[in-house]
Amino acid sequence: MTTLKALANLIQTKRLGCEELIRYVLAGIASKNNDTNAFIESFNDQAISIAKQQDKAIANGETLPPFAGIPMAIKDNMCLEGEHVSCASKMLQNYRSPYTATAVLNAMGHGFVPVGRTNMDEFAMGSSNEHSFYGPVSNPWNLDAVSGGSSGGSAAAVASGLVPFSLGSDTGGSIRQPASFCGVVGLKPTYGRVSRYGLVAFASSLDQIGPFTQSVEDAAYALEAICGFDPNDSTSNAQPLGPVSSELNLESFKGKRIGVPNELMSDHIAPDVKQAIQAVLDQMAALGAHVELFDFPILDESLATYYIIAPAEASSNLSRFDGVRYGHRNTNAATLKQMIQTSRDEGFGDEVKRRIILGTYVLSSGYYDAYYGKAQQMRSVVTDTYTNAFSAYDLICTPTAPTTAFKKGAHLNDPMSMYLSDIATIPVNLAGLPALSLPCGLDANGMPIGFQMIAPWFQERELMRAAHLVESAIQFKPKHQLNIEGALNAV
Amino acid sequence: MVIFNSFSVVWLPQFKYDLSMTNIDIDAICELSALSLNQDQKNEFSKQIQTILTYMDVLNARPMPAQSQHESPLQAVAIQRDDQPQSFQHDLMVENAPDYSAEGFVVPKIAS
Amino acid sequence: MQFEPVIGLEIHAQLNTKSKLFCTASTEFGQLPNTNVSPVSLGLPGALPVLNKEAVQLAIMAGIALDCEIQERSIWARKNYFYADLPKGYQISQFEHPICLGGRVHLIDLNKTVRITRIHMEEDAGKLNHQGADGIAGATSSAADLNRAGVPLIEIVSEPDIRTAQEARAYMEKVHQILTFIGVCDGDLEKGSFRCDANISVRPVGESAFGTRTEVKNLNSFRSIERAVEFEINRQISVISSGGAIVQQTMNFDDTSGETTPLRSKENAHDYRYFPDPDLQPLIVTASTIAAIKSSMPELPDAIQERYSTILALPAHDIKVYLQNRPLFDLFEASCAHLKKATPKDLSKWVVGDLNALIKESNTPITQAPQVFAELVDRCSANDVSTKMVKDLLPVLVKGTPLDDAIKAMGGGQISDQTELTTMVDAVLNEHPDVVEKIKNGKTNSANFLMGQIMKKTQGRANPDAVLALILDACKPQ
Repeated sequence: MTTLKALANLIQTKRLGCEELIRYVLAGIASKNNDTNAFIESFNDQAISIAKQQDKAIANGETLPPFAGIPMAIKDNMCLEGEHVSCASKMLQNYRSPYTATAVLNAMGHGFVPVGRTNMDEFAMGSSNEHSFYGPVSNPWNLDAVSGGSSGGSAAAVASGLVPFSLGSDTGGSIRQPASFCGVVGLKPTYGRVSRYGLVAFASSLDQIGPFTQSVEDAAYALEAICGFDPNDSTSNAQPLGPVSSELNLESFKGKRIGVPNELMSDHIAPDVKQAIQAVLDQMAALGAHVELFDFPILDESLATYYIIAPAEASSNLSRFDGVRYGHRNTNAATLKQMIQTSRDEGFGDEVKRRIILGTYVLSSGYYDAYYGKAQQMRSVVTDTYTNAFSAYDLICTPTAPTTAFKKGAHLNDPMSMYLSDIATIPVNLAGLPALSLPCGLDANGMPIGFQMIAPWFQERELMRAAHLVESAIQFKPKHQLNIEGALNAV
Repeated sequence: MVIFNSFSVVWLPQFKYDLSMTNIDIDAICELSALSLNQDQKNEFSKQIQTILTYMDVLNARPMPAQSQHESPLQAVAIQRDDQPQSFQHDLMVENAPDYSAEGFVVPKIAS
Repeated sequence: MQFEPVIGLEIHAQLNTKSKLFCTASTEFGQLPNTNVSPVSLGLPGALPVLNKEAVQLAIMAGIALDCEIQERSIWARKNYFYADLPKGYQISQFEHPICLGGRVHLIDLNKTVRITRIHMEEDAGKLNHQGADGIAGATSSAADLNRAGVPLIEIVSEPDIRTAQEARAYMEKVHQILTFIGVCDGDLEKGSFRCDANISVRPVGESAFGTRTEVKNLNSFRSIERAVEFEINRQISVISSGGAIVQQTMNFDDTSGETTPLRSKENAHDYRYFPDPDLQPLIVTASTIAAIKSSMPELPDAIQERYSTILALPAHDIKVYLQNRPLFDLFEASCAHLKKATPKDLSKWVVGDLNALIKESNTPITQAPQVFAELVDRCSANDVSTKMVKDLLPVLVKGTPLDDAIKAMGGGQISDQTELTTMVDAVLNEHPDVVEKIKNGKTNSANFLMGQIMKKTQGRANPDAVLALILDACKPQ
C-alpha cells in the first residue's frame, strides 16, 4: 500500500488524528531539516489549525475529503494566503501572499494540509538548488551532493521522509531532475493541466506545477488532487484527466512501442546512468514492449531555444519586483529610478541577474529576430519532432539527467555546464508534454538514477500506467520514507 | 560519486563562432533591466553571457521551416470572463508595502 | 516659404466596462486610492490576466463604427518599462497584430476624410499623486494609486491626414461623438476617459517627405487640442524659417500659457522589448461574432444626421442635440414611431426643448412610455390641446401620470366651442372697458392681457387662436 493511501486509511478509520499526524510531521521537520535544508519555513500555526478543524469535522461525523489530515509541502514559489512566499529570494524575504494558488487550493480541497514551504533555486532559476538566499539543499543520499533543482527542497523533503508528498514546479526539468537526483518520483504534467494561478512565474510558457512522491500511485493521487481547468489561468486547459489512480493495472507492454532518442544514449551520458537506463529498457522489452532507438537531432537546438525563451519571459516576469508595492526596497535611494535599480541589485542573486540580462538582451531591438524570433520558430520544430515521434511510439524514454547528483560547487562558476544538466528534460517543456522521472537504480557511488518517460499531450493516464508497471518491475528501494509506525507510536 | 565533468565540453556544438555578433552593450542592457551592476559584475556577466549567446548561434546555423507542420496540440480555449466587478481588499496589501500613505504606495521623487 | 502642417492623432478612449481589462477589479471613478484593485492589478507575484469579454465587444463596436477591418486574430504583447504607476513592469497591449486595421472618419462640415491606421486594445496605467508640490518636477515624493491601473483602453491611431488645428479638433470631436453615441466610451474628458496625443510636423508646400515630428502629449479637451496644434505648427514654422531644425521630442501643452514645451527627455531612447504575452492566448474573433455585434449596433451618427435632415426635416440644432445625447435620441426615436398626425419636427421641438430641460432638471430617467409624448403632440396638432397645455402637461407626464388623467386634472381638453368662448369673451370685455378702449385705439398688444384673463378662468384650456380672433373682432375700431 502506498504512503498516501496508508495514511488516509489511518485517518479515516480514526486510528490517527489529523492534528496528531500534522504535529508528528512538523516535529520531524523541526528536528531533521538541518540535514538537508529542504524547508525554508513550516506553517505550524496554519497547519495545526486546519488539522484541528478536520478533526472536529470527523468528530461531528462529517464526510471529509479523501486525504484529510495528510501533510504536503509546497515549493516556496506557490502562494498560500497569509503565509510567506519568497521564491528563496532576498527580494521577497518578507512578502506574504493575500491569496492562495489554485493548485494548492485544489490540493487543500482534497484534504491535504500544507505544512511548509520548501527551498529552491532563487525564482526557480537553477539546476542544483545552490542559488538560494536560504542556502543550498543537500541530497538526502549524500549530504555533500546537490539535491538538483530548481525544486530541490521539495525533492529532498520527500526523499528524506519528512513528508509523503510535495509540490514543485518544472520549467526546464525543475521537478524531474531533482527527483532523479534524490531518488523519488517526479511528475511534470502537460502544460495547461495544472493551473499556474498563484505560482510565481519564471517562464510563463514553460512553467508547470507537479508532485513529488515516493511512488507512481501517490503521484496519481496528487495529480488528481491538483489538476483541473482554472478560469483564472488563460493557459489552463479543459481536457479531462479521467481516472488515473484507479487505472494503474497495466500488466504488460505487449503492443507498446517505446522510442529512445539515440542522442540521449550516447557517450554524453554517464556510463552508470546509461547502463541503468538500458537495464530498464530491457525489462520493458521483457514485458512485451517493442523498444527502438531513433534519431532526435535537436538537443543542442532545444537547449539554445530554452535559454532564449526562458530568460526572455523571466526578464519581463521579474519586472514587477521594483520595490514599489512589496518586496525588498533600498530606503536610501534619492530618486525612483535609483530606488528601483538598487532594490533589484540588492534583492536578486547573481543567477537571477544573469538571466534577466540575457533575457533583456535577446528581446532588445535589433536582436529580437536573431534570438527570440528564431527560438520561437525552433520551438515549433521541437513540437513537430515530438508529434512525428509519437506517431511511431507510444512513449519516449530517456535518462532524466546525463549524470547523477554532482558535488556542491561543481558547476557553480560555469553556468553553461550547469545548463547542460537539463539537456534531457528541456525539450519536453518546450513542447509542453507530460513526463515523469522514476528512480530506477543507483550508480557506483550509491546515488540514484532517474528514468524519464514522456507521453503524448494530455496522456498522463497512459504515462502513469506504464510508469507503474516499470516501477513494480524495478522495485527501487527508497533511502527514507515517512515513518508511519513512528506516527502511530507518537500518539 | 561519479562527477561527469567532461560532458559539458563534449557537448558544445562544433562550428565556427561569430563573436562579433554577440559583442553586447552591457551598460545599455543593465539600464533596460533596471539593474546597476558594478564593473566587476558587468565584466563577469558580459563574458558568461557571450559564451551562452555563442552557444545560441546554433539556432542561426540551422535552416528553419517557414511554418509548423502541425497545429499546436496545446491550443487552449480562449478564456473570456464576464464583466462583473468583484472587490478584493486585504490587509496584506498595506502590510507588504515598503512605504504606504493614504494616497497610495509612496516612492521617492521621480524627477532627478 | 509656405508650409504645410502634417498631423496625426492618437486617441485613447476608455472602454465603458464595469471591471478592468484583465481582472475583476471595479472601474468605478472617484474611489479611495487602491480600493479598485486585485492581485492582478496590483501586479502581485503569481497573479495572471484573464480577458474581459465586454471590453472585446466594445472594441469591436468601435472598430465597426470607425469603418475598420476587425481582425480575426490579434495578439497580446507586453510593452516593458519601469515606472511607479506600472505595477507589472509591463503594459499589456497589442503591437504587431491589433484588433482593428484600416478605417476612416468623415468630417462632413469640412468635407474631409481622415483615415485610421489601426485600433488596438491596452490597459491603462495607475495614477501618481505628487507630494510637496503641484507638479512632478518639484515633488519630494509621489504616491501610486492603482485604481486606474488595468482599466481597458482603445488607442485609435490616425494616418497623418490632418492639415489644420481646426481639422484636428473636428476629428477629435467626431470620434468622441461616435464612441459616446454608440456607448463604447463615456466620453468624460475631465475624468480622462477620452484623451489625445498629437504628432505634428511641417513641410514646405509641395514636398512629399515628412518633416521631423514632435509629439504633444495628453490633450484632454477639444479646445486644448486646437490651441496646442496651432501653437506647435507656428512654433515649428518659426524655428525652420529662422534657420533652425526641429528636434524629434515629446512635448507637453500648458493650458494656462497656451504653449508647448519639451518634456524632460527620458533617459535613453525607449526600447520596450515588445513580445507576445505568454500568459494570454491570441484573441480570436469569429466572423459570426462580428456579424452579431454588427446587427446589434445602433444606427451611426452620420446615418442619423442624413436621415434626420433629409427625411424627417429636423432643424440642424435638434440633430446636434440628439447626437450628443443618446438617451434623448432614444426617447425621440421611440416616440416618433408612434406619431399619427403631427410631424417629427413638431415632436422634436418639444423633446429638444421642454422634455430635455425637464430630464436635466430631475436628473432621473423618464418613466413615461414614449408613445404618450407622441399622442400629446398629435392631440396638439389636432387642436385638442393647446400648446400652453402641452407645456403644463409635460412636467406631470414625465412623472409617469397617464395622459387622460393629466388632462382631466386640468379640467378637460381644449375649449374651441364658439358659443362657449363668446360668452367668456363678452364677460371679460365687460369687466375691462379701459382695455377694450385701448385696443380700439390700435393697441392690439393689449389683447394679450384679455387673453390672459380668459386662460386664467379656463386653466389654459381655451383655444388661444379662437379667443384672440373673438377679442379682436369685438374690439374692431368703429
